[in-house]
Amino acid sequence: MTLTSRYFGIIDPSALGDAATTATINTKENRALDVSLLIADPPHLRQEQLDQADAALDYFDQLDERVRATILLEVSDPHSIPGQIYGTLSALDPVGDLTPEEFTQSLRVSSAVVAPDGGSQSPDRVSITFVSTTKFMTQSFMAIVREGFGFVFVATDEAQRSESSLHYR
Amino acid sequence: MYLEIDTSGGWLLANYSKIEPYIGHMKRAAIDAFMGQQGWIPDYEYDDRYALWGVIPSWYRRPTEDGVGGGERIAVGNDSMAPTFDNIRARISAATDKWVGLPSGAGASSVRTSVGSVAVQFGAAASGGAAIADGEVAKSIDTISNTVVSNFRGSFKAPFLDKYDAQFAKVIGGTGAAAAILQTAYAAEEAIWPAAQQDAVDICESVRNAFRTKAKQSSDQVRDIALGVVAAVAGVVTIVASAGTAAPIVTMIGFAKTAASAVESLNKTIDISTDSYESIMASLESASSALNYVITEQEHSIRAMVSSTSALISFNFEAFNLDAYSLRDFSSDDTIAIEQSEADTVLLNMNRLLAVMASASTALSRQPSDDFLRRDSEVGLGRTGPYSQIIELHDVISRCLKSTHNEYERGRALLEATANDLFASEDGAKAVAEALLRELETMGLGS
Repeated sequence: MTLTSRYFGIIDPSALGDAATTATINTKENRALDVSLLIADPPHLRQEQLDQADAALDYFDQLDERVRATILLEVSDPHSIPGQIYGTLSALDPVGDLTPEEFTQSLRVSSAVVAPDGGSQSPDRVSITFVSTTKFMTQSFMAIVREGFGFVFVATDEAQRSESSLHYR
Repeated sequence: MYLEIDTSGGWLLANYSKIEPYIGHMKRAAIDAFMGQQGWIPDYEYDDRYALWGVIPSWYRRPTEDGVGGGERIAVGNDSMAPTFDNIRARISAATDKWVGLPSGAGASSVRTSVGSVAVQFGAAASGGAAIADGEVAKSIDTISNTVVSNFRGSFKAPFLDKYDAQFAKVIGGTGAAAAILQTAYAAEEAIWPAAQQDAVDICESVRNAFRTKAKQSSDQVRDIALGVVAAVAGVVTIVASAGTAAPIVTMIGFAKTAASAVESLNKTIDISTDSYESIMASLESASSALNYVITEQEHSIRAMVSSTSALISFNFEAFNLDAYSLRDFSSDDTIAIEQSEADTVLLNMNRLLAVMASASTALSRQPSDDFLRRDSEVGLGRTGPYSQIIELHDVISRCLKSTHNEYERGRALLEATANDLFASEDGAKAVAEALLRELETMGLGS
């Protein structure tokens, strides 16, 4: 049986290899977003898993809203990843009036990965990279949909500082 | 909440009165596990729905905590998981519904006590009085025997000793042993059900926990079940072991021992899987059949024990019913010699035995209704288990004892008439005694 995704097209498990399969979706702001499909175990890939990947993308806007609602809650916790980033950006904000709502709404999705078959190896199903850009600094972090745990936030390897932020430290 | 400490492992035992909630919880936990295996997890914000991977709002309604409902789409889509959920529930129901409403086994305990008192009182005669409680029966039989052997002379002496002494003692011993078998049957059923209730609820609780663990809803301990019901019959059958040494009694003890060894060899433990929805469901089904198998085999053993005893009685009727025993021919002896005081001694002791038999008859006249065994028709030997076979044995023992009582009463009347007649007029004694004997024999054989 041919394995097909409405977003990623016909999937040939034998050709999956390391290269991720990519597609482009439209966000609710009508912006093109690159998404990748990550298959952990190509020989055992099932159609049902592709259907779930498709469903996750069908509901991407709602998912995005739920993530942002969670980020808004996390911002008040200075130990959380969104809280740390918000704290850094607030400190750099000369006017000092960056509200959590503004911060949350200003986040931009830069990329997304869907991994429908992580199996027992990985419970992570979707990771969405959010980027916060102010005039002093650009920072990013990932919101991960971890099966059974809701959302988990992870710092990306390096905060990307804009040139203007260099003379801050 | 009522909890009991299991001294064998310190585990808090599940309470059988909670079995229906456990089954309800198990249904939802099974559906959670089934959905979870396919990526649908209870929504991180809303407990009443499954979201893809727990967060993506492609929702199906989750059943309530007691396992009811669910499967419909929420907000979007129009497909439904409801038929699938119904199938899961039906599969659990098929394995668990029969365990609801098990009898407690307590309903026959007073009858078991009554029957047990007859067994102790009469069984003692068969074992030479060694196991006797108060010794009344054996003592009276001995006294009658000694008095007649040593002090009576006359044509009635030999048949009297043969029937109303030797055979009577055998009948009483047989009745006692049969009562011990009957008591064992009641006691075994009484022992099965509390253990079966515990095993049933343990299975339901452990399988629920297994599904919950699989669905990551909890880390409640999942344990394998050692069936407590297995030892239930084996434990009570040993009661009979001291009942006696006479041939039919030994045979009956054999029936009880067969019952005991049959159940001792049964498989005693059940493994509850936690690997997957399907393997947990399979372990529920195999646990349920294993428990039912053990109960069925035990009831088979009880049924075989009582049926064999009933058959043994009907094939050896004279060993259990004095009325069925024919008088032997006896040689003529014109010389009758009885002392008044010795006749009184014998009659007094015969009256004692009649009174004991009458009270034993009263004790045996109470039978339990089948309520104490009523359960789902798929459990064990069916809705009322071996009830009809137990009652059949109860009836036959009861009838034999009544009949023996009546026959013994005739023997007493014979002796009394003989003695009275002798003391009134020695001339006519022989004629009267022989006439009574003939009448007695005719009645005995004709009944």
